[in-house]
Amino acid sequence: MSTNTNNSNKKRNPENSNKEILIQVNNISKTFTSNWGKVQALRNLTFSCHRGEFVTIVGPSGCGKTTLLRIIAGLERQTTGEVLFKGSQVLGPGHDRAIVFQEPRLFPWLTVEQNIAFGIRDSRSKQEVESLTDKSLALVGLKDFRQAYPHELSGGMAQRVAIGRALAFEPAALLLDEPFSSLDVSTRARLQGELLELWHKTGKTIILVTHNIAEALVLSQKIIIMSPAPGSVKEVLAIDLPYPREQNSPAFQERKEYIHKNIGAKH
Amino acid sequence: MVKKIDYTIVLKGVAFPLLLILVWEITARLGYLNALFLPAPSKIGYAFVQMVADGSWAVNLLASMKRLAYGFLITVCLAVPLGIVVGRARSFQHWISPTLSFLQQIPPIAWIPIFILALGIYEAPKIAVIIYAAFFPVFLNTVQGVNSVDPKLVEVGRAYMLSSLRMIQRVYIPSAGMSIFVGLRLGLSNCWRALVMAEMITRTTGIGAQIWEGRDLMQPDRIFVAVFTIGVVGLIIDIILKRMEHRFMPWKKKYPEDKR
Ligand SMILES: Nc1ncnc2c1ncn2[C@@H]1O[C@H](COP(=O)(O)OP(=O)(O)OP(=O)(O)O)[C@@H](O)[C@H]1O
Ligand SMILES: [Mg+2]
Repeated sequence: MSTNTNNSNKKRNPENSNKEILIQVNNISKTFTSNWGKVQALRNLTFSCHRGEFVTIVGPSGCGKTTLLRIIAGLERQTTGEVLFKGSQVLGPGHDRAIVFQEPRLFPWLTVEQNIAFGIRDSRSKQEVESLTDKSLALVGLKDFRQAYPHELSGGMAQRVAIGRALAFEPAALLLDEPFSSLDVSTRARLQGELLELWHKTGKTIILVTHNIAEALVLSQKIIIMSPAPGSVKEVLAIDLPYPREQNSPAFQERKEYIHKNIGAKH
Repeated sequence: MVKKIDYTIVLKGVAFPLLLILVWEITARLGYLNALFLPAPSKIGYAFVQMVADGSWAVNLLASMKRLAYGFLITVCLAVPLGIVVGRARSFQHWISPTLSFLQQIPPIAWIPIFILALGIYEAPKIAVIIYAAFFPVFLNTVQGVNSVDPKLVEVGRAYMLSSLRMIQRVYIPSAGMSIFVGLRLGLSNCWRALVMAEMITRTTGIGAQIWEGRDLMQPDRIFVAVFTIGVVGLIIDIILKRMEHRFMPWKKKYPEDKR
């Protein structure tokens, strides 16, 4: 077992070092208790994320990435430790965070635009809902499909609707759980490009979970590598390559190999 | 988004029975059929015109439709709210589901004698049979609909901070809606069939009673008019409900038709 002696606040990216910390995960652990026993999913996990930063979390299957994201979203409660958002404790879901699940989870009885408006229709004025929905539709490039129903969409489009629904909510932070994992390679690459563009346009803080190391390298400024279950932070890697990232460049390849080795090591 | 009607399919669906009727008519005219129980379609058509003219067709049909409407309405008012309550209280289901399975095995017609003994032969026993016939599909589909609301969608509601009332309105009811509607459709066709049986046994008024009247008077053509009326009314009810389903639930139209 690797012990987590890493100082996860080690800042290798000078660009972010003088920025405000938006999300602070402090020493959280999570143990699930089910009928057949206890499972420790997370152990003493600590990291932070600056406002406007694009962070990815990678790690082997079952190491607790989804659990971690759900705890940050406030959908799950950690056993010990705390999550701070702008300095105050996360006690449940909030208006400042929106999660995009691994599956789109669209409502089949709502059209694309109604799905996008789902999180705001009961709390905002009619004009606000309209303008936020329009803005989101434009951001995810689905203006022509606003009247379509989810069953009429491809997998990639459905995932874009899910992202649009999260954006319309106007969160400070966007939490994405392997949003592109069920898509084919080329759709995935296109949506990665779109997500980057969206990040540049909106300046949102993004935490994205992925299995795919190349994806993490293409997208993020900071990669959090988790150790196998029970998950903890194995290493925090700042990626200071300029955007758009050239996948064939030696610098990219070198980092990719490094992470591969790092994830595969021990257990 | 209006569902387009494919006219070639409609045409095929209409052409087939017309063809059957034609063959029937020809064999009847050639004298191959016993007119005592298989009158020619033209004779049935003539009987139909007569029954419309003397008003007996409309009177009986109206009597049946009225019972259907009352009985079905009462069932919906009972079964849907009850289904929602029971659907949300899971432990309660363990108490009642064996009893329900038992009751479900008993066809409505088996209760008719008891209903007649208890309620007489006029409207009450017929309405009771209808309620019994429709209750289970409506109730069980409502329970199932509420039960099978996708917890992942409920979680989306939670992530977007819906109040519990909004959660019912925006997630539970639309989710269960499809299932409830299937129950209503099944329930209504059950109602119609059970009603005809009840009318045949109590023999007062209605389409079912008309069938026995035809037998008593040895008028098979009248029997056929009543039998065909039952089929056509059932068909029309189902078509209307399907259309309503498409109208209220346009997202469902892509899914394959349920096969029953
Ligand atoms: N609701 C739950 N009840 C019990 N155990 C759970 C629950 N959710 C997750 N776990 C357990 O916690 C551990 C981590 O699960 P989690 O889904 O967070 O992993 P993950 O890193 O997202 O995996 P993957 O990459 O395959 O999606 C697993 O061992 C899993 O069995
Ligand atoms: Mg996961």
